[in-house]
Amino acid sequence: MSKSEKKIVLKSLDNEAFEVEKAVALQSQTIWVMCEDKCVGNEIPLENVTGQILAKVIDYCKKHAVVDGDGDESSEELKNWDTEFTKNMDQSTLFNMILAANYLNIKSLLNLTCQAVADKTKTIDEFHTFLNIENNFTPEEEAQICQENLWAFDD
Amino acid sequence: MERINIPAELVEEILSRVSAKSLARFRSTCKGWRALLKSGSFAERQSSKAPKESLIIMLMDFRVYLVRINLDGIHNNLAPTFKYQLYFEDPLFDSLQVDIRRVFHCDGLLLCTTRDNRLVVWNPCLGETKWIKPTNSYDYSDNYALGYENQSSCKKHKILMMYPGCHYYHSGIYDVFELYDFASDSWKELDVPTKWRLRYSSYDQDGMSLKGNTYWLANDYTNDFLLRFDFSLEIFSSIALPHCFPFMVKEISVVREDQLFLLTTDSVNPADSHVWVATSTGSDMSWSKFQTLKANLEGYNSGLSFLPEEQYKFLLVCYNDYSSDNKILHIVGENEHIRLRHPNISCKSSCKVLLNYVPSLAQIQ
Repeated sequence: MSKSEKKIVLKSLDNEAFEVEKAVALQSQTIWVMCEDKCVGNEIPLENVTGQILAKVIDYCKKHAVVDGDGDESSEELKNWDTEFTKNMDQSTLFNMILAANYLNIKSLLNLTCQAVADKTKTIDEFHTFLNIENNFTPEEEAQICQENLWAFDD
Repeated sequence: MERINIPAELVEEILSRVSAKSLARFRSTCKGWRALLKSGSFAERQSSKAPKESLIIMLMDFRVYLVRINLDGIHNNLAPTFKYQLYFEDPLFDSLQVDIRRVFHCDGLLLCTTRDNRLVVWNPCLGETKWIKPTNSYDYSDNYALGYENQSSCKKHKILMMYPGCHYYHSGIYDVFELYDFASDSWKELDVPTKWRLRYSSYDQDGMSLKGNTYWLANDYTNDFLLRFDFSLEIFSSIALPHCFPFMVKEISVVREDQLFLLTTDSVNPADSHVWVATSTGSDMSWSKFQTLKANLEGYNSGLSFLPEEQYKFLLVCYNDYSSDNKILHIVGENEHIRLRHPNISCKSSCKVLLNYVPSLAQIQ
């Protein structure tokens, strides 16, 4: 395999190009299937991911890739890196990371980002802010449930 | 504000990682979410992925309270808070709360006996209740335990009911046993040869649920031992306590549904109490000492309940103390003994129970 074949270019929705090692990119099942199909050249267009998010996804994949024997980091260290990775992301970035991980089909990243949102989201309002959720309870029904749930707000 | 369209399956993926108590808040989000939280398949996923929280509840004046104790500030006289009642309405009396006389916890479900001797299973997280009809009628002297078959992935809950037949009334001996099955909504009688009685002859000694089975302190008129009811095999078995225990065994307690503790008093040094933790829970149970405390609990023989607090090595104790004022919760450390009371609850009227409650989305089935 020549050197150039080991690299691959990922192109984001907003036309940002990222050249990465193939081993890094192939953690995405979606990219793997695209490469298998040989329906694309060395450049893979990713129409659902912005450059800003793709850069983060690539950071994650680089850390988690086993490239030429330097992937022997302890699992403890990887876990700490994962925690740091999501710690300072805001909710909007996290939700976009979830969508990207889902589209690119990277299971471990999907797990990590879903867990991060679950850990950070403590109130309904935080969900309402980002998700299109329509409250379809009548005021009476909502009052009844809230009365029953009062104890669960004890933090 | 940017709105993001997250597909429903990803929302479920996120929610399945949220603790049951936080999910209880989300029930009022929309009808779709409320239905999701009630679905069995979601409950199963959530139970394997989400962190489990261990809360403390207390039964006082026929109400279940959530107790939050800030032990960080214990040396600065920071009292615990008893802020919220766990709440449900009585279907018999419109908009009135149910008066709960006894409460038993298993798998995030609370099995409650009401003041007027009705039986109800309650999941506070889902706001669901199921009233259990008796074969004939319930009585004050009945003893109930909730458990589940541990073999399949879908937990099959059952209720054990024991009561004294006419020969044994007021003797503390149970000789009639019935098992309730949720699927068939019916009781069946169990044939149990009993050569034991529960440790305290009063009828308010509740068992403790550990991994689906229930444990009581019992004796056979010579020795104290642990009595276990296995809800999978539907049989009782006895488990010996350490043979050379030089201590008086007082009570058992379960933390987070997976750790069994034993409280003993010291007959040589009555001012000391000891807490032991079971290091294996098979038929051959072994114990190691967890903590020693400066508390004389010798005089309290029934209605005592306790919870060890692991981080700060405090023991929370409550017992029926009719003689003193209404100091209801005792926080006992190696060198301190703090008495706390609820500002608004007299609490002389009802038995007080201190329990670990691990919220779950477990379905009542």
